[in-house]
Amino acid sequence: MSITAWPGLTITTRSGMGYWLASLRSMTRFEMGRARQWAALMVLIQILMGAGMALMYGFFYPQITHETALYITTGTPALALIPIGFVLVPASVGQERLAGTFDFTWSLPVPRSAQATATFLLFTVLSLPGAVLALAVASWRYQVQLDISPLIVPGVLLSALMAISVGFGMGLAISNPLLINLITNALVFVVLLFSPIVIPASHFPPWLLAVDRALPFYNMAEVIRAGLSIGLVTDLTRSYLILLAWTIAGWSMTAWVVGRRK
Amino acid sequence: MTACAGPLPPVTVRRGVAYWAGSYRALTRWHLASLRMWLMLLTVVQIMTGAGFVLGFALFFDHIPASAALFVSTGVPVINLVVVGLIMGPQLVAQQKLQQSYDFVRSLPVPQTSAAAAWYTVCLLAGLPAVVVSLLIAEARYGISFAVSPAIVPAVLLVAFTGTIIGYGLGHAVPNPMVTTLVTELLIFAAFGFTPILYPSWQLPGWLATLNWWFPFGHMAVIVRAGLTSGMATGIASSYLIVAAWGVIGVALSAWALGRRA
Amino acid sequence: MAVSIEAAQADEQAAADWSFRAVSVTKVYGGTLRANDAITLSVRPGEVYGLLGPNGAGKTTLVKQVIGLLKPTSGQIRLGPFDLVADPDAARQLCSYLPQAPMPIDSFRVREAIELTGRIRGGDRGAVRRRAGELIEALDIGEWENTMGQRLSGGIKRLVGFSMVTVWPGRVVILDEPTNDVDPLRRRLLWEQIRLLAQRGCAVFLVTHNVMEAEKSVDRLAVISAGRLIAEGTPSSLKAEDRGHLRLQVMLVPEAATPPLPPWVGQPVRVGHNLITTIDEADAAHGISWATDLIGAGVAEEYALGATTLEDVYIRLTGHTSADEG
Repeated sequence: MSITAWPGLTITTRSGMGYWLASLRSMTRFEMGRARQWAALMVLIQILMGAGMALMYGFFYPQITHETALYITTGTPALALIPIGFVLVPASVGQERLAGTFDFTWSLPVPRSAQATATFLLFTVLSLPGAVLALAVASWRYQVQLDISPLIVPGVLLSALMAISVGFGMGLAISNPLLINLITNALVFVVLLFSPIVIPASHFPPWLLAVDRALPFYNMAEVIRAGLSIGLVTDLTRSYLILLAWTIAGWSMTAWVVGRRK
Repeated sequence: MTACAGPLPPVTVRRGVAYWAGSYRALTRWHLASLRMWLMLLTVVQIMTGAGFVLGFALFFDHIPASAALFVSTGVPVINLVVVGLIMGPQLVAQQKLQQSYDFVRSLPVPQTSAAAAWYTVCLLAGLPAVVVSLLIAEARYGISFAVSPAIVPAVLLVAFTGTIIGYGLGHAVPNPMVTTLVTELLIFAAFGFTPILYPSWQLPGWLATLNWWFPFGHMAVIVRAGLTSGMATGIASSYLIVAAWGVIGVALSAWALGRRA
Repeated sequence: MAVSIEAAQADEQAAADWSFRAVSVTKVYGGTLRANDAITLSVRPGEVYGLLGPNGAGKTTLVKQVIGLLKPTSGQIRLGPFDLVADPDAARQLCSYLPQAPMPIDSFRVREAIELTGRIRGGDRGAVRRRAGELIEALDIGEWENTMGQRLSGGIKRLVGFSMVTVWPGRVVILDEPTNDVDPLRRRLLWEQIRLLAQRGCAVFLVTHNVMEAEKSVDRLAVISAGRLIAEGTPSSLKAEDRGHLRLQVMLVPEAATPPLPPWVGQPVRVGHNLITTIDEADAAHGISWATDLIGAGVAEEYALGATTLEDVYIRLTGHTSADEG
């Protein structure tokens, strides 16, 4: 009985750019199949939470000024993307680890970076429609005129990618799913209350503002706001750089956790 | 080999008050022990949420009007009292179902009402410290002095009861753990953002304010507010009735869910 | 009707001697799926009674009805004078249940979990503490006495679960796969404790896949398949039909077709590349030469000839081997 009796058994390993691209293609297809179960949920969460929060914040005020309305509307896409990246993605990672499917996916013979790229790209693309819809709901409710510029594209894309990468890293770093749940819920609460996403930064004490500037959430709102309005956003470059840094952090965390499983 | 000369297994079936009280005590200790890992984290999250809402609310305004500050400070305790029973409770049950340890707990020889009472005790204990802290923070930040009256005691007990028992019923009635998690996520969101807990109901659109009259949350805030201020809350009697009525609904739901044997 | 007179007499006797009786217990789901189909059995106090059967046969469904987590569509379940179906509160008090799934004791220390469960079951503090100590020593888990549940391995957790359920046992003790993940040394200690439970007067229900262990440890057993009780009796009585027979197992070469069988080979069952058959004791020599010929022809790799076991009965009755389980 010899191994060559089994047809198709691989005895060479593949490498190189062609391999990487082929892996990306096949993994994307694989992920698309799995993402089907998440796609509907994602859009639902985004609309409910994104649009929901946009509407809810309006109720906090005895009367709504134009400035208030503008800030809420331009902050809505960030509101829609934050739960996806920081609640849904970690929860799905946690659940997959619990069910054991995570190990299977990551034991497939594809380079890890292609794997991660496929996952992140897919989630990013899936998160866009919901964000757009939430924005539509908010601008209809508050009746504000938006000044849309091409800046909206990199703004939304980078924000989504960053949120998903960091969320993935978080989901991997914390092993207990109930703990993930607790932390992400608390995080979303605190973040959404203490970051100038839908509120002008002038309301914030300087020390809090400094903290917010280091965290990703305010910067997400800023880069998106820059594509939807004129004159509201200052120091845009800095926001982009910080988002980039967080994205790299998310990727590094993912690479580290997945790598150490060996 | 060790021979165990233990007592013969009992032949009498216990009933009556002593049985109930003994079970209640033992189960309270059981719940406290099983939440041990979480109680610390939970208290921290509770306090953060309470403080978060009290302080974060002010950021929505340039200078928060005194009435809004008082309103939000007297509403936040409701969130503290209800979060554990209404949100965490069902999620714990859902996790038990996922890990299939649900059957063991249900097979324990305790009267169902003592099990519910034990859980209520633990949820109340988990909420009270956060209530106190939230009120202290509000006093410090907004310079409020609360007119605390004895009415706060029944208010706190009833609010915690209704919130806990509804969560208890939900957790046991909904068979699919994923659905439970989704429902509780939605609840946090809808119950705290779209109800007149943090802000007065005239800031809501008419139809939403009317809808809220049928649900317990706004009324919970009213009865707590009545115990912390004088003259600010109105319609107190009807609010007590409605919160109590929802308590009854929770009891019925729990009794049905736990009594059924598929 | 003869059946009801019999049943009434049996009831009287049961009430007097605390027997456990299930009479025609049927559980139907959705109008068509018969998870349990008219199962009738009785267990006397002091008996260890095994429930054997493939996955999905209905064993866990049956025990869940005993403990009151499910309600039978029809049929009776009685323990002594108590009707367990009508009085689920009594059912939970009189019966202890160790489920197949791991226990929710992540944040409990071992001794704490055992003692608390004993208190919940109505034991008084001193007696429960003593009994918990006895069990910890008897099962050799003293090393983990103060360890948190989440740090325990699967096998130790199982032993803790067993202790929780038997520190203050009911009259009926239901154990669903108690030896799962338990190491061989402690497994023996566990069986000793199970036997001691029976000696004290409990009726012990043992749901298991492990036919070999069951054979050595149960007094009587029932084989359940597709919701029905298809055989009942002591291990020897169940093997009686196989008396005078031997078990011939031939390990075939992978992907070989089943070779044509000589007429004196009976009841062949093929599992993977194992061919399991029974032959008359008198045909032992034939069997050996036939198997050797197969090896010579390159069709088989090995063979084994031995006494029939309960496993063979199980295979004959259910068409599965016990290794088919999850």
